[in-house]
Amino acid sequence: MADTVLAKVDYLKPLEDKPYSQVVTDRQNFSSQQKACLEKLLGAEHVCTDPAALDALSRDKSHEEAGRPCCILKPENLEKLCALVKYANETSLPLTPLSSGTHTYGNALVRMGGAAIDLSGWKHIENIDHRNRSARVQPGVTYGQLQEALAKEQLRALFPLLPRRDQSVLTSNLEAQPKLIPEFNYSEPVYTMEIVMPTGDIFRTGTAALGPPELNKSDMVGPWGPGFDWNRLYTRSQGTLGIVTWMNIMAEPLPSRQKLFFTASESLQVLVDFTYRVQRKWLGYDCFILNRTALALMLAQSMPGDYERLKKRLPAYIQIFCIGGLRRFPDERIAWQEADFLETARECGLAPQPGISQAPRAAAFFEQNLLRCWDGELYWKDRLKGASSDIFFVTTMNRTSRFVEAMHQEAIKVSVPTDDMGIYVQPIENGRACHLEFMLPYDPVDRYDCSRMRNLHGSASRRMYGLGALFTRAYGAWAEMVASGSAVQFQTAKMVKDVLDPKNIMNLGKLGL
Amino acid sequence: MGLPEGAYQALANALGAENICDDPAVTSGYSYMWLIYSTHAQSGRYRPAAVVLPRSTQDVQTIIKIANRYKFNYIPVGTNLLPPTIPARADTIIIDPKRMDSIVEIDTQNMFAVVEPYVTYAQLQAEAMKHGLTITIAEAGAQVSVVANNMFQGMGGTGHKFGYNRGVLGCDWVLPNGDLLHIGSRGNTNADWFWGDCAGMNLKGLLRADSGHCGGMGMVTRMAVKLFPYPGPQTFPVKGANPNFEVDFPKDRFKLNLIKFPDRKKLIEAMYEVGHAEIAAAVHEEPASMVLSGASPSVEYFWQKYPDFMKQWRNVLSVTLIGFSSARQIAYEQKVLDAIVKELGGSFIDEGSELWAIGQDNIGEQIRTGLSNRLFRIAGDFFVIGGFGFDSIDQSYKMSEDYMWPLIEQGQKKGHFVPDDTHNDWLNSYQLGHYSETEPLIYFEHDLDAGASFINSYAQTVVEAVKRRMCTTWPLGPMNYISGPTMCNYHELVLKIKKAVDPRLTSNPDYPVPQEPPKG
Repeated sequence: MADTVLAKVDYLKPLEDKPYSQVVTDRQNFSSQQKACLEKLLGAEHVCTDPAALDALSRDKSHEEAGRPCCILKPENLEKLCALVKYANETSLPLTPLSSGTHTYGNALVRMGGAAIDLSGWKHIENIDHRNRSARVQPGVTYGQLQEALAKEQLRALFPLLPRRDQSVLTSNLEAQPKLIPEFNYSEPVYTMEIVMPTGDIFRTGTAALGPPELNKSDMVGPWGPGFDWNRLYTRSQGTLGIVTWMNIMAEPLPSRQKLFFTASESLQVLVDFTYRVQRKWLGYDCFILNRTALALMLAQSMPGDYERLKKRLPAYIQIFCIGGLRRFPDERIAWQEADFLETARECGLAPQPGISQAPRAAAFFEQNLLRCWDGELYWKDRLKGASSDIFFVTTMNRTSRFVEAMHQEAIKVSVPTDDMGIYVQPIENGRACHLEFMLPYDPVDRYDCSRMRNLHGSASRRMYGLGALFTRAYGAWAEMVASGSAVQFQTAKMVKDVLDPKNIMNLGKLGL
Repeated sequence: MGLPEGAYQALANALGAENICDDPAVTSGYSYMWLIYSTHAQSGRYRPAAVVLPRSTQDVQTIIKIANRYKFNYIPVGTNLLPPTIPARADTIIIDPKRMDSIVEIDTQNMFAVVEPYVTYAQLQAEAMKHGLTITIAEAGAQVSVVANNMFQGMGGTGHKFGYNRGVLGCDWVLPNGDLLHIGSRGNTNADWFWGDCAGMNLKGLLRADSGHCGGMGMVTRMAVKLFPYPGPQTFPVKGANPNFEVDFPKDRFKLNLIKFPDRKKLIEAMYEVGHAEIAAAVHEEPASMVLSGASPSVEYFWQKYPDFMKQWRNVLSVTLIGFSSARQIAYEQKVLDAIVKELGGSFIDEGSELWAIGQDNIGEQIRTGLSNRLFRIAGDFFVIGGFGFDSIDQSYKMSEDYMWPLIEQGQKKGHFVPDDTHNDWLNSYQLGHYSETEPLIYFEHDLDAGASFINSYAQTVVEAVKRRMCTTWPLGPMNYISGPTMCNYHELVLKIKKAVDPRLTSNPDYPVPQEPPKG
């Protein structure tokens, strides 16, 4: 028997067959070489490794785990972006594209290492085509910027509900954020787009594929094809299939005048039934339902005093409805729609009003803000406690009451007050479906509150999924939930990802892939 | 060469002997097509090795798995309208869904219906109308399959209001490897059929493009489709008997306008104005040949009327108003339309005039297409020189004038196409004028020379479009090799994905893109 028995594994030995100090040195060398290459490619001023900036990007407003980029890259133009993506393919450098300053749902977190590509500086509105009602925007264009430009052409952007000031129009459309107007013909606003594919090649969708804009003789408003429906495939893909560098989107006629109505009820179901009937008649423009909490968060002039007062006074739910007049006979357009709207309300036993008596600011607020971003310092959803944990999905309006009841039950289980829960119902496509959103306020610096809210977000999401919620925007844990529900869908999605992103560099770890 | 040894028996065992057939008396019927050159050049060349009749999604999965195991090809069909559904090689079976003909569900509140592949538009619309709903019906006719048409295009008469390529919701899609992929809300077993986009990666993007894959990507066995509000009677209001019937919609909710413009440019302007004003449910430029053929009770009647009618019926825009909400809507929209027509120097065709009598079928055609078969009577064959490409209304007009009509005139000079000097297309507005599509109609005899003239001219529209960097005609199969290199090489990506989901290339192998470019 031997005097000594050699250990099978030498735990002190580094994985690489060299001293650990050398490993550290090599890594530092690699990082500096990589940085040098990127600087050569993009220019030193477009490569940021400032620890504070990297730390700032390592977390967002979601409950997702942190992920720190190795650097933030700001390519100046399309040519440099393509070169960067090709370099990333050669060196297996993961890339995560960003378009705006505020990240909310975890999709911009660099979860598996690599660089963040910040395109928030790409703020050019490339074209506004009044005749074909379109606007072509770069990733950094915000709603405020776009609406200001469109108004000069008597057009309007299709707004989501009170977006953040720095919300990217392109990302909002790419993520299919619901819009305030449920008109069927506005509901898929993406015409065409330009994509830097994960290989670094340029691809354009629809009729934009016919050539770069300066050579293309179409109007680039044909959304389908070529070959597949790429717009659909890339919608909600969270940057996992490439980087969109511009998007041509719908811009609709700007009403020359408008009229707002507020319909109150203590029952969500009553307003849902009413909304079904109004939408079936194809009436009006903006149409959505808020509960008193969401409305108070928007209207309160001070927190928490005015918010609490409002919340006590407001009816449980309010439907907000807007009719607009266009260029020809605007008053008559408003008049016939108003007559039909009020007649429908009467049939439902409801009485829409031009304002909310319990909140006199409401009429003016919505008159001014249906085409504006939230301009307060703190975003409206965050006003109560500093942050809001949102759960949202697509369903049908007749199921909303059941979801609300289930959400209340989940909140009660963890002692979250249900009357602080904001609810937003956005009909889609003339009411045949809807976006249902719950806003759960919490204090982001209170660890107990964060933990409690993270648990509620998880359990409530699973409960909603079990009830048939469709998490079309599958962020973070929702992606895992969705992927685990359908093996064939997951396998097919992975196959598509492998074909389009053979080196697997684009926004790793998202969509459950 | 037929099926590999044992394959027929495997199919018979799985489906029952009564649901598979290789009798030439049956299979011959699947080897001919109505459409043009292929009718002569390719139809009848290959009978399918067998025809199978599945009853369920599981049956379709079984058939496709057997095809993969035994390595033979299959073509899923609907109501069997288009050329790609005839076999181009001998070891091919046809999956005919004749036994899958159920309307599974109509959700009247959330406005959708779930159908199997052999349900026709006529069937579905008749049921939907009982609930105050309707669907936009393909101009191919109400007799075509809802699933197949939505897989291919989903165009229709009321597309100005109801859209194009927007009708497909949840689907059960048997992939070419036999796996069942649930599309949209079907991905969550508790979510029903109401939504078309998938949670996670939206694989609905692979289901089709502006046109479909012609069975090259497996088979959809159930599909939910959108329905739309319909303020008319519960039964389609038709009077008279074939060939002289007409529709009779309530006048306070349905209003047809036939408007003549001094030139085609003014007509195009009017289409834009109607779109910007957000009025109307159906907006089409209507060509003389199409209108007259629809209204003609006989071929003789058509040819007697046509020379004079072609002179009178020029630059006519058909605008159908529907009062979805009330009669007030019709009154307002008519007032706006009157103003637009006046501004652009148009004139309404008088109700009671002979032109009106011929054109009034338009309203019925837009809501339920029933006269498209009459287009074939004029000369024997009918199709379009280009079309199925979507961009702006201006683009449609430009495509038509720049290269489609010049190609038609070349065919006319050769004596292959019926004379027509109107330069009017069936040019359509979709989604309130956001998109458009144009189809210049041609009629020709059922012979090889005329058929060749047609197919060459059709393919040439793709060549001319990419040369000019304009919107292309639907590039059928091998024509993708013409358009692909100019359009970001999309055909290569399509082929890569086809090979990934169909590694043995058994699902109608030459579609959507053949493996190799055409020789020569």
